[in-house]
Amino acid sequence: MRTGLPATTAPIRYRKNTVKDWTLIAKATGVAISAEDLARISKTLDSLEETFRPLAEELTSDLEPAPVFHAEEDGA
Amino acid sequence: MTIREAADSLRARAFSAVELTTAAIGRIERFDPTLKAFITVTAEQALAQAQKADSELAAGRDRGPLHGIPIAAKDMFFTRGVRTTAGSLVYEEFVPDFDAAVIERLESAGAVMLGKLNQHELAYGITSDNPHFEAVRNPWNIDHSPGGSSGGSSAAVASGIAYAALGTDTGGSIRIPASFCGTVGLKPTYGRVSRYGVFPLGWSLDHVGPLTRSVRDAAQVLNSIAGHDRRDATSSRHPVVDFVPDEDCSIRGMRIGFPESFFFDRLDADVESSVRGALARAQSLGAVVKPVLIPDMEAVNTAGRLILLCEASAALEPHLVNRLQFGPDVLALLDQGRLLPATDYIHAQRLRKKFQHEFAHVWSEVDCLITPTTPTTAPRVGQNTVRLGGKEEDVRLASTRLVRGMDVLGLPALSMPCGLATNGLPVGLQIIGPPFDEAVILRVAAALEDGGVGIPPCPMC
Repeated sequence: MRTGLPATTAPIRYRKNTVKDWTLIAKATGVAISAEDLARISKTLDSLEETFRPLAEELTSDLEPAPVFHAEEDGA
Repeated sequence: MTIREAADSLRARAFSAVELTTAAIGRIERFDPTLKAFITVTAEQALAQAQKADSELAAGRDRGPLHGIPIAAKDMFFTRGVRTTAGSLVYEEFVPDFDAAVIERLESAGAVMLGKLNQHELAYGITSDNPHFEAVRNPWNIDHSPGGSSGGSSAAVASGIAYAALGTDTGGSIRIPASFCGTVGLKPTYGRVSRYGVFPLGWSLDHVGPLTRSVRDAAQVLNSIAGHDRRDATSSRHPVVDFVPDEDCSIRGMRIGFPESFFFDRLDADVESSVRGALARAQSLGAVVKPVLIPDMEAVNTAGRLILLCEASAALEPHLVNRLQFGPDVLALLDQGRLLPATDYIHAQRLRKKFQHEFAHVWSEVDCLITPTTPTTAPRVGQNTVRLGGKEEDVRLASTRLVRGMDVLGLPALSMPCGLATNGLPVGLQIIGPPFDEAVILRVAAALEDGGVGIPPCPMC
């Protein structure tokens, strides 16, 4: 194995410097936002993306999402 | 007057619950035209509840420390037969046909409900400058914000109208207004208090808790509202203890950590000196105060922001067909959440799990942490940025910077006043504890309060 890590803990590698086109994403997902509103939020989303992407890159595949759902214990 | 003092006076027949409630309604009439803390006042219902409380006490039926005490609830909590707006036009005419679990519990404890409190629209923001129900004002200086989103809750308590108020905290919305208005705000552990009958903002981040004028009052309210509720799928079965600290509670030998990195970066000078003063007081009371290393809180905040953007947009998406119903700041956040991919949401939840594991190690070194609650005192109403460490910072991001992480980690955290800044506004300190150890943070807070850490009563009180 190239990294020397077990398959389950090897970090997922993303393409570096991925810039998202929020206009295209809005169009593709059918989210109706005016160009003016989109311009207003794009800067904030870019900055969130910039800080979030490196964190996501370091995730290992053995990390599951935090559980937030608990099944009913009394069958009610 | 605290809940305990009022409760003692009620039992000593110094005054009745009706007199106490009439006085509270009088304060609403006097101060609320300026404060805008209430969306709906339920004066008639409150007087009827007070009358019932008096009759029960006279007949020897005592429901406990909240019996006959006037309180109020943020307009996020469903109240049977009473309009519940979430501070939004979306729910402007909504009248629930059942009570939220916490409303039920407070009613069973004999509390008297004065009404429903103003807040940031949909609890999605920290200013409580509500475009539909007017801006809530800070009782310490009405040109300043009370913080939010539970701004009406903190303003009503600080101004002496209500003895306690319910708030919700998804990214700091109990602790920020507590810090800005000089009240005690407690965000319990995730799952400790039922969210049944509370409008959701971020399902995996939403917490319910009290705002009060003293630490023991917050503990008293927690005693009434904590505990398992099968109607809330995330409600915990963790045992409920008596949270009220003893009169002579000691913190001698307790290990209190202060994380030098992150929590003491880019602070207003008055905030830093007040919080460091409280740490020194803790040391003089016998606590072992020491620096501690903690996980990357900037990263925790980033994951938290992403989770909230996605969950809030999912919760409110059905209403986005009518965009004119929303204020511009809330609409911008809802739009952002709709553009983030599901994979990012899942990655953020995975990061959250990682941070929870990392943070668990902190509790082998210390019993609790003390940090500032907010890096500044209350900003002015309408202020959008603050200057900290030579850098302009968005007010929302600055105000949530030190508190959001505890919603992501689900840890109990309390804000209490620890001094007044040179501008005359309160400074808040935050005490953070291990999961389900509210008793520890309340004990430390009570010892500090007993030891003189605090502020004089609000001039409006």
